[in-house]
Amino acid sequence: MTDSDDKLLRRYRGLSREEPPRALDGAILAAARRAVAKPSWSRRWAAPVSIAAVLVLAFGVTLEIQREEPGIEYREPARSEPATVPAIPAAPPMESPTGEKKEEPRQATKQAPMESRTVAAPRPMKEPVAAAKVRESASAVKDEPFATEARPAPEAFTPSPQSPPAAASPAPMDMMRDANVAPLNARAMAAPRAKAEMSESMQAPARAPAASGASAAPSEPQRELERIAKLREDNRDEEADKALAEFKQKYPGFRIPDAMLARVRPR
Amino acid sequence: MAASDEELMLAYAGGDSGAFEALYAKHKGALFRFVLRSMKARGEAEEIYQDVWMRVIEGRLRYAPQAKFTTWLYTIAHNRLVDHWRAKGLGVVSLDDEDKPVAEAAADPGSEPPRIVEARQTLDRLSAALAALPLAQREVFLLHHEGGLGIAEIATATGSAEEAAKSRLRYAMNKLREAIGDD
Repeated sequence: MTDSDDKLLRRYRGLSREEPPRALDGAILAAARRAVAKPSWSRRWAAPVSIAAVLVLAFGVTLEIQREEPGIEYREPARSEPATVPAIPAAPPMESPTGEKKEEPRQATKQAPMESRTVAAPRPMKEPVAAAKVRESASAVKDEPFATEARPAPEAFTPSPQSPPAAASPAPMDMMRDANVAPLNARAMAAPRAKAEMSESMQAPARAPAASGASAAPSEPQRELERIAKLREDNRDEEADKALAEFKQKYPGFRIPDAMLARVRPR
Repeated sequence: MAASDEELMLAYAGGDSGAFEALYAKHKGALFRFVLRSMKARGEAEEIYQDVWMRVIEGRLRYAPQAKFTTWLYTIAHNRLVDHWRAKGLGVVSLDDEDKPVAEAAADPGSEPPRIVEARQTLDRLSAALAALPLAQREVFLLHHEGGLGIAEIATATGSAEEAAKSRLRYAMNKLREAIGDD
């Protein structure tokens, strides 16, 4: 470095020596401290605690829902039974699905053929096979005492747009089958929970006429119970007891209405 | 023995905020003047100065002591200034060869003794001459005299060749000498 450079440097050093404002110093130093400061306990654990709380809450809500509506996942299959079981007394069963692609209808209709083959046969309703079918289904529909009555009557038939071409000119039996399948399809279309009420409302019109039809033609268990009640009235208690025992054996899941129970139970 | 700048910066990256305070105290004046004299407005200079330190803070974990801390610091400052000049529509290199006449500072006769008046006039002329230098030459001069960087470090900080840095510094010194009448 030459002398002239030194002289220039000395002159330059003579210029005012500006410094940054104190406020700026404070802001920069504070930012530097914040950047390396360890997070507090609350900040460090905030995220994990939040996640844990959400999980616990979700688990609790799930438990609560299950407790309030137990077996909600089993209710759907039980409700689909009436569509197949009811075929026993009057209406013919459904034999084939209507080409539904949904899983639930398929499951329902998978069970249908066997039952329908059994019940659709033109045999008297007192046949043991039909009775066995009723016994099977009765356990599923025990909260619906006369579930067999809840079968859609032929008048309730509405042609399904998804019906196969073969059903375009249905025979009376086919029409009745479709009448059974239609509410089933409607139920399958409904979401398991959110649309349960809608499904109920869709069944209602079909059930109403069916119930009236059932009152006209009492079912096998009903007739059985009537017979036992008659025995009681005739003071043939021994036979009535025996018949009642047989009835219970025959229909283990059948729920006897209170009025009927009062008439048939041992005195 | 006092810790070097590089050790202080590594200590700060490791969580020692006291190390940053030591670094800041050591370099704040020079960096502030470098930024202030590279621009016209003090407000903008303060904003850029703060931004440079914020980038140092944010980049603490990426810092590797491959070069001097001051080289890294003034590289950040240079890049920030380039961004600023670009935003203003100015370019460093385009003004490199600009050969403006150095402005003559107006002397205030006042009532001070003649020697003091003469010294003040000299400083005023130097200040005005510095402000009138092309951006690239002024930056090289400030990096050399404020930041204490050598030619090689200036070249690194400004991303230019050493010859170019050396040439710019020589041009700047000559113009300033002419301005203060030392040639």
